[in-house]
Parts: sequence; structure tokens; C-alpha cells
Amino acid sequence: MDKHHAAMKQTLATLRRAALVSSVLPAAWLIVFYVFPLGNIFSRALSIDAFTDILGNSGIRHVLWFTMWQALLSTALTLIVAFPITWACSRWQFTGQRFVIGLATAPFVLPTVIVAAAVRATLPQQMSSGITGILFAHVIFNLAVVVRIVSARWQQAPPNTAAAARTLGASAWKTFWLVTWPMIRSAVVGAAGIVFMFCFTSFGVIKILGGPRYSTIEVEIFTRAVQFGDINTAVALVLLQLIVIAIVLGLTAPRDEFGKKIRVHRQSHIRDYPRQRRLVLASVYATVLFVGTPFVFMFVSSFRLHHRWSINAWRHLFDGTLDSIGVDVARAMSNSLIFATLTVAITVPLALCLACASAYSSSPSVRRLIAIFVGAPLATSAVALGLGMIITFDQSPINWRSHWFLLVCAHCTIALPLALRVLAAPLQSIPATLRDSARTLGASPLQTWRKIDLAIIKRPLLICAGLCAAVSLGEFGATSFLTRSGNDTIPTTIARLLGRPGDIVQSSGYALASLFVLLIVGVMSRA
Amino acid sequence: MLDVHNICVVLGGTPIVQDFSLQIPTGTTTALVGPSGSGKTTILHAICGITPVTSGSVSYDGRDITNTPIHQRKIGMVFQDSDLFPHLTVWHNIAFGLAFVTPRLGARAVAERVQELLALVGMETFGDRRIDDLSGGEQRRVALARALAPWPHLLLLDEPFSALDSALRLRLIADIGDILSATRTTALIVTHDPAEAEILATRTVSISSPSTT
Amino acid sequence: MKRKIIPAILIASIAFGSCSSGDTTIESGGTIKLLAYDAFTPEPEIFTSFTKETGIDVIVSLGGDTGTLVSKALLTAGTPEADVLWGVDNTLISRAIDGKLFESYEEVDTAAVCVNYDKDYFAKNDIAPPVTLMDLALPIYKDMLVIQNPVTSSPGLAFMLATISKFGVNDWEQYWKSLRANGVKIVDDWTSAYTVEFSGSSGKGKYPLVVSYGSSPPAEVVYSDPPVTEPPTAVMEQTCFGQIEYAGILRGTKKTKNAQKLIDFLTGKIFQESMPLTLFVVPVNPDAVLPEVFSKFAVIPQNPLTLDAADISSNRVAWLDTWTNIMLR
Repeated sequence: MDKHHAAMKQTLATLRRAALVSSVLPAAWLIVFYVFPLGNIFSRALSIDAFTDILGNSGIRHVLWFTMWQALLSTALTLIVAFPITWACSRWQFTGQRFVIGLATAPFVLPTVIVAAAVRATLPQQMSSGITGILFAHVIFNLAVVVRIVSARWQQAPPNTAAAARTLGASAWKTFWLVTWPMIRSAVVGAAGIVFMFCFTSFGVIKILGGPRYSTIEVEIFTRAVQFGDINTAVALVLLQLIVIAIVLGLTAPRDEFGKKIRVHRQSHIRDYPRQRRLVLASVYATVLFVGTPFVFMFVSSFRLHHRWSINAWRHLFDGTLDSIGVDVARAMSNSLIFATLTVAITVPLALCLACASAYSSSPSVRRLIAIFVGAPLATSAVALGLGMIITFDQSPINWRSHWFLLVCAHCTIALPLALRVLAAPLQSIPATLRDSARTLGASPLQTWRKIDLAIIKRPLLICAGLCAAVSLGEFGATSFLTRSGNDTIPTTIARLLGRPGDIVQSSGYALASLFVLLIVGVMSRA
Repeated sequence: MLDVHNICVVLGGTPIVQDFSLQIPTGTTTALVGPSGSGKTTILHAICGITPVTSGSVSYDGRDITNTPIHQRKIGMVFQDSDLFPHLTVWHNIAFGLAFVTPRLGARAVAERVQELLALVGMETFGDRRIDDLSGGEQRRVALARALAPWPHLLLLDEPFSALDSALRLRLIADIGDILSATRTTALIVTHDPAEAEILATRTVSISSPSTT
Repeated sequence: MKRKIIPAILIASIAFGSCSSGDTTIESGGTIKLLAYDAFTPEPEIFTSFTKETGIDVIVSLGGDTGTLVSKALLTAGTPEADVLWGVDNTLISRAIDGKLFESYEEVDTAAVCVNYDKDYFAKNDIAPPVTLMDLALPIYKDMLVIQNPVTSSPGLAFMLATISKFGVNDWEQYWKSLRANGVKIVDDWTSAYTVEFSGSSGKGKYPLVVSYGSSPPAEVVYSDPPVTEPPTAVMEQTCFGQIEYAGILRGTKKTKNAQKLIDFLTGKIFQESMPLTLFVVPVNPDAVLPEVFSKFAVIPQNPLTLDAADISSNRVAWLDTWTNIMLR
């Protein structure tokens, strides 16, 4: 018995050691492709002068102000629009619920450029650039964040508590404010923080929908660095943005006060509650309409040429018409596919190493360190990462800046935090007894790991791979920086097409975006 | 008097309660006894309005309340578990329902009523405690006090002692029995334990699956 | 299905694996990469004679507007992604020189950025076309001018510099404030301005005045459908800013000799004579003969507005900032 006990303890120790050793790889990766490039731009170009310059420049102050208020407004609108569907999905069961949630949250895995394109196809010509479109696109893109995070918490709120408030005389609204809201508040605030971060660092949406007038800090970083060639100002802006994001995320990080008992309560099926049925259905239909309409418009627009129906825009994607403006769709698609494949191949193993190190570690500070270390790239401007990489990898033997694989490295670094999140939770939740029983049956530590841990996280691994592919396929900020002629990806190609005047080019842009959406939907529905 | 007349409840296509009828005279305590899965909880939920009835009617003192919203029925309920507000203190949990009493109570009246109920359940000094810091028995007492606070016409208790160990349970049953008779509360108590029903109730109604009388 | 995807990806990877610039060191024949701005549209078969003569294939790759092209090239100075760069103009050449972008560079063409107008519009409405920059701020020409954002467009930048050259560093800001008050329309690039918003060209837009080139009128004749003998547009000669474009061998290329051959070709008679009607710029090679339609309708100003390249280089960012603040905020 003692012998068995020792063997079991040894299993976890062996796993822990193996995980720590293997996490050297992802750590090295992040040092080389995150810490090094960013540290480099700060040390090279950051000066007090540049900092006071940007605060003294009224144009930049204007950009800061716009970035701030559009992010606040986008966040508020996202919360408002997300509320009905979140309520319906947290409190009720209904037929087609999974489909509806899938649809409402799908834009989040699409490239921001495509969401922006869809919004542009929907709005009338004179509104095609401006604040309406920007807000619209931000809400559609970020809806998923609120729905996922808030409904996960809301489902854990015991329904009896709300019912008790009702029996004590509180109306439905009072019950929400006095009982439900305090329980979901920290989740709402946490979701709002993440949405704010995405809107504050918005790049693709502003590039497509902002016109010459609207610019966020992220866009300004790009403009300064690429069009002005003014790296110092760009770097000062990078730091400023990082500080704001760090403060906001720090303030909004969820504190789990009532989340101790993690228990998802069964919801009531809406068909048994005729009174609430109409409200739930209205919420669901309104949200589906809100999210789906722009994509329908985009699809329709791709078949419009010179105010007539035509499939020529689709044909032009591949018949060489677009060569004259330097766009090669087939090449962009194969580039995107290769980059995505490599991103998955590199990121998933790296994330697995880190997730194991985090899950098997006995010390909470190691876990926190890993979370911070890996979460940082998420809060960093992708444009800044691209800039850092270009000016870092310029000396032999690491003179990689004009190589396409630097793009893949950027995609991997950006995908890593998301990939880790998907894998860490299920690994942590594996009870030790499972491993112990495998050991008592005579399996070696490695066999145990393969048969138990790996088997259990098979599905999370698939999800993780899908997420990495989505990040790579949709990445726009760093890609805009690192792309060289011939290395265009689908998002940069769509942006180029939509950035040019002319019916054929515009419709082709919509056609390519529609094609991409169809491909993603096709792949996802098979998965 | 509560009059439940031929109610049916269908959930998810399955009939949970079929043609159930029951009368509870004012000032008495009735126990509803039956095995688990017989639809007892659903009957309570239908009476207080949490679950809509598919057919049949519920009325109180001759007034049909079948379609009255939950918060206007003045029917208190003590749930099986986890129904206290975790973000409020004991005091504020008990005061919760007093905010909706008409005519409106002044702050002083509220304080007096809360103190009265704390005394009733023997927890005078617990007002500032957080719910998480209470034992299971204490939580049940607070739940009872909270439900009684806004002077409900009728009190529903759903297996109020199920999660407690036996010694505590016996004491609590005795205490609650005393409280109910002292306050002359009209009550319906659901339990699967006939002995419990014996002690608490003036009348026992048994149901078996499917729930018909 | 899934099994078929993986080999397909592998094949694709091999086929497109060489996404990066060629590292080929062999310098006999082979290929040479010419990086140019998006608007570089020479005669399609123009390089055939060059290839026949030298055995070198020319690969043209387009890298965005001139500003982006130069900035990105500067970020990779010394390890270029191409061998020859076409299209740095006098507004950017100082930056290119400071950034040690080129091994060597030469003037390849000149052009003039000038305001063009729609002759029909002014005739129909019985308004005299504007003549000077100052005229553009007059109420009579309200809501008529469309220009490009100087941040993203090189004609836009040239036009901004023209106003600085004309009004001086002290008064140009005031001029732009009055232009803004007079309803000037700003778009991102030349194509949007000229082919969409301008009323005198294919887009039949709303604006009868546009920032374009001195060579735009002959282009209207060459591309007109049905054919016309007179251009429907004309040039405000006093608004012209002199542009000089350069082509250079990118520092760090391993194909210096071939690159020089290509530069020689670009400045040679064949290419230079093809430029007026394809790129609509004026050749620098004195041997090049101008086509008749070009010499007849293009405006080649004798003394265009201009600024010192070093001056532009040291003030460009500040001027662009000022302009953006006045016009877009």
C-alpha cells in the first residue's frame, strides 16, 4: 500500500518535472518573440521627449480622446445589445439554443477586417465611413465576449435565489437589480474590460471604416511608423496604450466573490413558460438579425456590379483581373493557409507544455506567473509587436525581417495566450485519482499521461487548434507591418481591395470576404 | 383559505403534476408527503407562481390568483437549499421583503420587524453576519425569518430540513413547529418523512407518483 | 476529406514555399525584382526586349503608396526584399538618402502635380475657372475641390508642399483653414479623387476641381471611349508643384550588376519614350521623343512651385501633423 502511495506521488512529481522542463520551450519562444522585440523598441526609441511631444501634440491628443470615447461607447453598446441574448441563454432553455449562441458569437472568430467589410456593405454609401459603422462593427465583433463570460457566471447563480426574491414581493426588475446583478456584476465588469481592450486597440475596423478622419492609437502607431517614418512617436504611443490597457484590465479583473460553488444550474425550458416565451424569442430573433444582417448584405453586395446582378466579382477573384492592382487572391489564400497551418503546428505544442506546467504545479505563484507572462501579448498592440520584430531581427544571424516566417512567429505569439486558456482549465480539472488508478493498473507515468490527460483534453486540443488557426487567418495588425509584397494574407488582401475605388474591386473585396466566411462556416460545422 | 383546484403541470412535455387538488384552511399547517419525484416541489412552485400551471386554478380566499405575478401573491417560500442572498448580511436578508410591503414601512418599523424575527428564530445577535459564515441550521432559520418577515398570507416550505444532520434536525423541527403555531401562519410543508409531518402539521396529505389526490 | 487536406497543404507549401525574396547569388541571367508603388503600370510587354537582350527576367512587385513603399523599404534597408526600387520622389528622397536605402540612384522622370478642372462644368455654369491657389478659397468655388490626404498619397503631399512653397511657412496654415471653410473634400488616394469624385473623368463625380497631374489631360484623350480629340479637362498651371522621381539600386542586393542594367534600361530611350502615355510622366532622357498627344495637351510648367529636398525632409512630419490637425480633427 505504501509502495503504491509513493508511486502515485511520484507520478505527479514526474509529470511536474517533465512539464517544467518542457515549458522552457514556450518560455524561450516568448522571450525571443515578445520580450526581446518589445524591450528593443522601448530601449531604442523611447525617450521622455517623445512622450511629452505626443501629449503636447493637439492632433495626437485628439486621437487619444477619440480612442477613449469610442472604446467606452462601444463597450457600453456591446453590453446593452448583449443583454437580452445573454439573459435568454442564461435563464432559459430553448430549441436551437446552441445554434443561436454559435451564430451570435461567430463573428469573434472572424477577422475584424471581414466584420468591418460586412458592416460597410450594410450601411448606406454616405455612412460607409464614420462613427456609426465603427460602433456597429465593434458591437458585432465583441458580442461573443459578453455572452460567453456573463452567461457562464449567470448560469451558476442559483435560480432559487431569484425566485425567493420574487416570493418576497420584488418585481422582476427589482429582483434583477437587487439579487441577480450583484452575482453577475464581476463577470460583466470583467467582460467589459476585455471588450474595452479590443475596442481601444481597434485596428482593422478603423482601417476599413474610419476613412481619413478617424484614427485610434493603434492606427496612429501604424501611420506614424509606416507612413511618416516617425518611429519615436510610434513607440511612445505603444507604451501609452500598454499603460492604459494594463490599468483597465487591472481594474476590471474579475474577483470571484460568490463563485466558490461552481455549479451550473439546470435552466427551465421556455416552452413551459408562455408568459416569458415572447420576450425570449424576441431577444433571440433581434440578436440573430442584428448579427446576421451585415453578412447577408455583404454576400448580396458581392453579386452587385454597376447596379446589376452579376457573378463577375467572384470570377475576377481568380481570373487575373486583379493582377493589375497587385492583388493575387490565390496566392493570398495559399499564404493564409500555410501561415495558419504553421501557427497551429507551433502554438498548440507550446501551449500544451505551458498548460501542463501550470496545471501540475503545486504553487499558485507559478500559475500566476505563467498567466501574466502569457497574457501580456494579448494586451499588447499587435502593430507594436510587428514593429518590434522588424527592428529587432535586423542583424545577422537573426536577420529575418523580410522573411515570411517572421509573420508566422508573430501569429504564434499572439495566439499563445488564447491557446493556453483553452487547455489549462480542463487539464487542471483532471482529478488525481484518475491518474492514480491508471498507475495502480501498471501504467508508467508517460503512459498514464498519454492515456488519461491527453485523452481527456482531446477535444480542448481540437478547439485550441481551431482557435490558433482563426487567430492566424484573421490577424491584421502585425501582419500589416510584416507583410511584404507577395506575402499578402486574406485579411490584408480584403483591406487592399476595399481600400481602392471602383465597383469591380469593391465587389471583389466583398466576394473574397464572403468566400472566407463560407469556408470558416464550412470547416466549423464539420468540426 | 388556499384552494388548489385540479392543477396540471407539464414540463418539457412530461406531465409532472396531474389533476392535483388541495385546500388549506387559514391558520393551519398542512404537510404534503410523498416519495421523491412525485412532483411535490413542482406543486409548491405552481402555488407560488414560479412554475405556470398548464390547467386548473389556484385561488386564495376566493380570489383567483392563477395568473397573478409571483411578487403580488404574498405567498412566502422557504426553498430546499441555497436560496439566501449571498451578498447581503443576515439583517438585510430578512429586511429584503419589507421593502415591498404596502403601505411602505419606515426605517424604524423595518428595524423593529427584523429584530422581532431575529428573536423569533433565536438569532438576535446574528444580524451583521454574512451568509457564508452561518451553519446549515442557522441558514434555515434565517430563511424562515426572511420568508415570514413581510407577513405572507401563506408560507410554503420545501423540505426545509433535508440537508441537516439528525440531532439538529429534531431541534429545528420543534422550533419551527412552535414558531408556526405561535404566529398562526397558514403553511404548507413538503417532506418525504411522515414522522416530520406528524410533528409539524395538523393535517397530512400523501401523494404518490403520478401526483393525484 | 480530412486526409486529403494535409497533402494539399504540403504541396501548396512547397509550391509557395519561396514566399521570401530570392537569395540567389548567381548573377548570370536569372531574375531581378523591381519594387514600385501601386500606380506603376508600364506597357505590359515593355520588359520583353530587356529580357531578350540580357537574359534577365524582371519581376515587378507593388508595395503600396509611395510613402508606405519608402517607409517599409527603409525598415529593411541593407537587406532589401527587391533589387531595384522605382518611385521615390523629391519629397522623400532625403529620407531615403539618410536611411542609406540606395547603393546608387538616378532621376528617371519628372511630373507636375497640379489642380485640374472640368472644362464643361465651368462652361455650362458660366463661371470662370480658377487660376491661382488663392482662387480656390473663394466662395464662388465652394464645395468644388477634391484633394488627397497628404499622409497617404504622394500627389496629396505634393499639393500640400505647393501651398507651403507659395504661401511660406507662416501663412500656409491660414490658407488651409480657408480651404476647409470652403468645403474641400479629402479622400485617401489619387484614384478615388480622380476616377470617382472628379466630374471631368470616368467617375462623373460631383467635384469639378481635383488635384492631379499636368499630364492628366492627354490621359483623358488616350483613354477616352468614344474617342475624343480634345481633352475635357485642363490644368491650373499656377498650382503646379514640380515632382522628380528616382529609381535606385537597393543597398544590400547581391545583383548589383544586373540591377544597374535594369536602371540603364529604365533611363534608356525605349522605356523613357513609353512613359508619357503609360505612366504619364515626363522623360528625363533628352533623346526621348514625346508623343504628339502628350506634347500637345500635357502641361509641363517651366517654373513649377518647389521646395528644397532637405527642407522637406526635416519638416515633413511636423507639416503633416499640422495639416492633419487643421483638416481632419
